Amino acid sequence: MSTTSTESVTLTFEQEAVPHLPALYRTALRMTRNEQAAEDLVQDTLERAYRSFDRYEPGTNFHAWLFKILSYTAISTYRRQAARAQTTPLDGMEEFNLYHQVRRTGIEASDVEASVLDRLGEGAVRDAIDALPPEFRLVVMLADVEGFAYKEIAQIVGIPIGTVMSRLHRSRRLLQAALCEQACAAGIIKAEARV
Amino acid sequence: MGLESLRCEQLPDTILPYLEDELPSEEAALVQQHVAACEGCAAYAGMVRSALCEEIRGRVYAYLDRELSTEDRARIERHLSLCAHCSDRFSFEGNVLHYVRREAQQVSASDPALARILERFRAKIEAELA
Repeated sequence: MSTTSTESVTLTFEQEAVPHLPALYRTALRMTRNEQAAEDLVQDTLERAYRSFDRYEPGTNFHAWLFKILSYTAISTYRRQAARAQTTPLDGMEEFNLYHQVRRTGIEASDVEASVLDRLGEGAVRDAIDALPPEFRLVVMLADVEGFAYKEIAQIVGIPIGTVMSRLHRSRRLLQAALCEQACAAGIIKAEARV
Repeated sequence: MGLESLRCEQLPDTILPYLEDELPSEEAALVQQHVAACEGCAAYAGMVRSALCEEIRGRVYAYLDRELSTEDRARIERHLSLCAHCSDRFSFEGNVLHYVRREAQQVSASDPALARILERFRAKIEAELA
């Protein structure tokens, strides 16, 4: 490839990729939980995408294609690090059942947002997402933040659609458990002794 | 089915359509009468109802994420109109999901980071071309 045509490919790639950077960085921040590591992850994603840009089919979903590369890079980086570092155990988290605790406190189900959740501090959801294992964090980000459909998530993560559904279900249960823990700690709902 | 009464052995075939409000009103009335009078069938009906509610609640996220077919949506909505417990649970899950989405989407990307990423990407590509 001549320098001129390489430059024009680079320019085309940049023009295509720039609009997706905020979303990629937003997901990268939650996947890495660290600003520097998130920058590295997005830059790494851009490089990988650029190198396989000739394999991208114009007209297909470029946004999903970039997220597929980001997801793959994030999970493989995580697996390398996980071999060295211990992760936070999640045992017992599911015992914090937000629904039962809220109802027990006498709050209506339809009031949970105003009466409980909105009273949690800023960053409550971010902290709850960060407490999830990375594979779970990823599906929550893709579904709830980026708004991908189950089918798209299956393609991005490379798992069957049934696995997307069960993983999302479990992720949301764990997310609720983390929010429940925060609400109990803040005294918004009364903590109940384990049954 | 005879319209005058309903026998215990007829219940397995009628209980689910009954609970899903799909029986003609005369047949539904017979099931209701029988279940009210027969302790064993009342317990059985209770079990089927729990299993049905469990199935419906298992699909709460697919419902809220708008991933269900029109028929499945309609079936769930019919159940919710009949079952206060499931309706309460769906309302709760919808509330929590709404909150999580609203909060998580506020995680915005800071501009200086984006510019740095792009700059580093360009530098790397240029270094390779040189």
